[in-house]
Amino acid sequence: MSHDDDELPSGLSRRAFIGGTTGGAAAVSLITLSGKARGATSPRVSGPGAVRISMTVNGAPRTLKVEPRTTLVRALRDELGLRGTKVGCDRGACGACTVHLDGETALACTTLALEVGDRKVTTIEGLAKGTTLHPIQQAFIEQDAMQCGFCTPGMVMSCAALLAKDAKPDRATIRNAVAGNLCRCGTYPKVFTAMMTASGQPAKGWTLETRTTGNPAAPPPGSAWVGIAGGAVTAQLRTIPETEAKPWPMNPGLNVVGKSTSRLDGRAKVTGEAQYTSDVALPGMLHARRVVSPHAHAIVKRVDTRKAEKLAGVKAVFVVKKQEGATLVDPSTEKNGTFPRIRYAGQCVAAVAATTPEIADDAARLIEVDYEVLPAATSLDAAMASSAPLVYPVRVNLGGSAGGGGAAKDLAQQGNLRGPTQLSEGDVDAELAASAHKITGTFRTQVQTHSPMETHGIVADWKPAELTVYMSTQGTSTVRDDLATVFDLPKSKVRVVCDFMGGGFGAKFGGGHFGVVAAELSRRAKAPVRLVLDRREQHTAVGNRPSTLQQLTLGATREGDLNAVDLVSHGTSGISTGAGVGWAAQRLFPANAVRTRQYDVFTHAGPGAAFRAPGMPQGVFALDQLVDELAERVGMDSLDLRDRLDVDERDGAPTAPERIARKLERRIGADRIGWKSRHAPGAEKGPIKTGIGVATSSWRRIVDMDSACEVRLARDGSIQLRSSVMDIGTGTRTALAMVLAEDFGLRPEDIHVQIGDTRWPIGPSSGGSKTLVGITPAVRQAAHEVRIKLFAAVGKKLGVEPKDLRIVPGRVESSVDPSKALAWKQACATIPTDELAAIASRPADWQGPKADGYGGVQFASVQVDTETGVIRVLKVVAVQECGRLINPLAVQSQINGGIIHGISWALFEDRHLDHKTGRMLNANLDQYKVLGAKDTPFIDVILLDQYVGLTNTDAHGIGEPANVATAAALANAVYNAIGVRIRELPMTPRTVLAALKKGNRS
Amino acid sequence: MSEDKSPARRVELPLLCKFLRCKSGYGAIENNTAWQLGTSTTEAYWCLATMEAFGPDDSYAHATVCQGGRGCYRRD
Repeated sequence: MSHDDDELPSGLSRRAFIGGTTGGAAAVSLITLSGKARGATSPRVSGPGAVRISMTVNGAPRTLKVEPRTTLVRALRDELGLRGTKVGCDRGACGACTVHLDGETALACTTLALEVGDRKVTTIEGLAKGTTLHPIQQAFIEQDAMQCGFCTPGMVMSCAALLAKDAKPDRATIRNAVAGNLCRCGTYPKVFTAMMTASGQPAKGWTLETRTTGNPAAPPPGSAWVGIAGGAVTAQLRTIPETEAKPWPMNPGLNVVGKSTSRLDGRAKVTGEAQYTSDVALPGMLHARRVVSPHAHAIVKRVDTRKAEKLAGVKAVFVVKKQEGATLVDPSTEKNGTFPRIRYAGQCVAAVAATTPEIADDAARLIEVDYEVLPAATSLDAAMASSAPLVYPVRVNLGGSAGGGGAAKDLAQQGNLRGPTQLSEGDVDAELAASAHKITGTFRTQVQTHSPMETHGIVADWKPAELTVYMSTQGTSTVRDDLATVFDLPKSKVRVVCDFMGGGFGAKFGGGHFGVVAAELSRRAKAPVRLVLDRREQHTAVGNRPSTLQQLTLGATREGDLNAVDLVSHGTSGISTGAGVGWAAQRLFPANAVRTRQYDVFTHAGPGAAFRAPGMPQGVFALDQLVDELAERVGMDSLDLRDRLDVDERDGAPTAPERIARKLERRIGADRIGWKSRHAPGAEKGPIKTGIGVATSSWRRIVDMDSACEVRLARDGSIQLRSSVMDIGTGTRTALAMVLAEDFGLRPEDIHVQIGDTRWPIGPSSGGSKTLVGITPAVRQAAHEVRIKLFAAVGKKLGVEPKDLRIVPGRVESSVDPSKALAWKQACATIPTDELAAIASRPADWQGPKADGYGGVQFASVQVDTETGVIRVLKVVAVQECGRLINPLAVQSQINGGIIHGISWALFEDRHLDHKTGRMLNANLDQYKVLGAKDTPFIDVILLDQYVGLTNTDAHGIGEPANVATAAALANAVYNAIGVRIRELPMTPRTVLAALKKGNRS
Repeated sequence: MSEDKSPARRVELPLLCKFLRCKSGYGAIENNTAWQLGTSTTEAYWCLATMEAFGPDDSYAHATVCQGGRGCYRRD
């Protein structure tokens, strides 16, 4: 059974579809063209075999020889090297491949190269006039209308086409123009803003307000600032090592940090120059394709690769066996045959590498696999049944040496249920019994797939001296770690490069099954191998946010104080663990007693993975709705009750920075959303009802000490920063340049930042909102060490003690006598060697009061059509804190993205598995609905500058907390609108109508 | 035996199988409960010997079970 032959129609890629319907495995293609498509008036048959075609691309005539089934995007990228045009879905659903044909937008993945004829093709590379950007490209940079940038070329092309027709388009027209361009990072608001500014119109509706302290002073020696804008900020004593960079003043005292700054790689992203993994093309590179199981549960009986191996152009074949290649294990420990048991539809069985993608597709179809198909449990409810087929029938036997150390003993496993993981503080049952108010709710949330615009991919180049891989990853060192271990190589001989990557959201850590397969194919073929997963594989095999079924009970006093929080959760992360949601219940609002019992339910479905604040959006969806209900029961305003509950300890005043922040944020957000005008639930007349809701966000401050960098200062004054940390699209490059620019009195663009390569000092992976927390103190420390060396040289030249020197914008001067100074380049010319360099690791946090949590508050305003069930989100207000603000413009982009992710999850996204076969029925981007431009609400972002005095930068991350509260805020707003609770996601029209029907009945 | 260096606790950590991985297992996380303890409920684990969520012995990968005594356990 081949990969593509077994695909359901909804999952076919365009390339596979064309291949399959025009000759199938024999790769014979007959394409009939007519009309303008080929510039002739009569039909003509092309093929079989490659044919020569001509087209005009970016004003230049081009001739190329392609198979008739070759799509335009493939011809542009692989034949002409114009890789700015991206492939996101390969079936015309995402718009990443948008180009112009005679000035009209066209999807290059659903256009055959032969069809172009004499129409003029313009790609992103042809939009600028020489070095002068198109106005929309410039506006994208200025407005930060990009994050990972993978969708950006397509988005820019759609915008440019509209501007060519309509010099001043209104907002609705703009939304329509980019309605076919999906952006998983959620940059739509800034795309709208860029279009408005590029067309000379005022941009309204998506605002950023940064609130800071107004105090530019440096903290007294031996202390650091602690506090938040709008609250008290005081200097607190800290033990700061003599060798460490000193704390900065608050942001008003800084020149670069805290100022909104356009990202330095913006030009590369809007011109298509940014190179993503799928753009890497090495000499002699092969193309790989996997064969995956169409069955959710099966035993592989036979894999026959002989026909594939004989196909011309096939260079290597790999079959997944227990004892194959790098997965060699002790055969005595293996059970159930040669091949791993199939546990989900989409599990890899074999792979091929060939000279072209088409041959790889054909070869994959020629691999024969015999399966013994077994019954499967593919849903949470089915898997919990006592008679359900077991995902793991074999229990682990740890023998006599089980456990050891402090690890938890393995949990009970009954059928497919593993757990519970139990946490209990206080006597929940007694507290509930004593409670004046006891509220219980059952909540369901669905599986969400990450759906980054760039699917998982790798180019592996196995050489005797070194394995080099180009990988779309959130952590270069995580890939190196995995591949070194799998192939038993020293880490020093594995190099991982990730220049740009097209979104990850938690799913892109480690080497991945596909990564190991590609490396193994490269080793066998002695050639570089590119393996980029298609959209179906992305949906099914490399991670998702688990589903949940939560039963939550709150017990409270008559006044609303929490006596008890009691949670029982079941969730499925497919064949893996990780479906827990208890953290929100455990810590968001303190109670006298807390009990959480969390179960993993194994199902025959693809494994889960970390996904933007794992467990928190699900947990908050339940908890913040019940708190809303409690407020109503108690007769309190919902915000007032949250203020009452949001304390360090029961009956105690809030002292933790995050709880102080929450109170401020609730009041700011309430004013901005118009909370006072909020009506009683369901009180509005008529079928269209509006509502306002609120919810709380919290996340942990995670510190990764594997955060290092190298700073090099050359005698000509230029500065280079290197680290293996990568930029997931959050603007890490720019943030690091800003930090260095601040300390050297330069502009961010003066700093040459090189990141995303394990040849450079180790950097943190980008996940868990821990990137800037980890890396920015290391950057400052390296800068500090370079400055010491620079001051020694300058001091000698000026006759000034180095300790009396300081850097101000553009020069180095004596702090005692500023007339003794050298301009920056003159100062650097005093360096005795050609270069000064320092490699620094992250200094440890300074000792001080704990500040483990941070987050924000989000308010949502919605409109619900009670006749159709359609929910329309009108506006979201996000008031957030994330430590010291480095680049507010980029923080705003991330918050916009977190909110858009949250709305998309709350209203649209849902993975549908066929219950019997376990195959995903909507493994694409047209039937798996993600939020697009037309559903993007107005978003107000208010950022509060915050200082916790724990590091020399006090920077935090924002990716996670921006996503936590959105769905719960929407649900509370919907309740306020219609007076009926919706406890199940996604809140589709069907769900809303069912809830209304049930609510009206009751 | 290594040690959980988080300030709040100093406990012995189990020597887990060298093929076990999870997201929190990368890097040097300073202020979190050690992932090796297996107490997180949001962690998806995988096995480098299979590159799947299960080990060569057909059972699932997890910090609580990828320890000495399991047939497919590997340390060096």
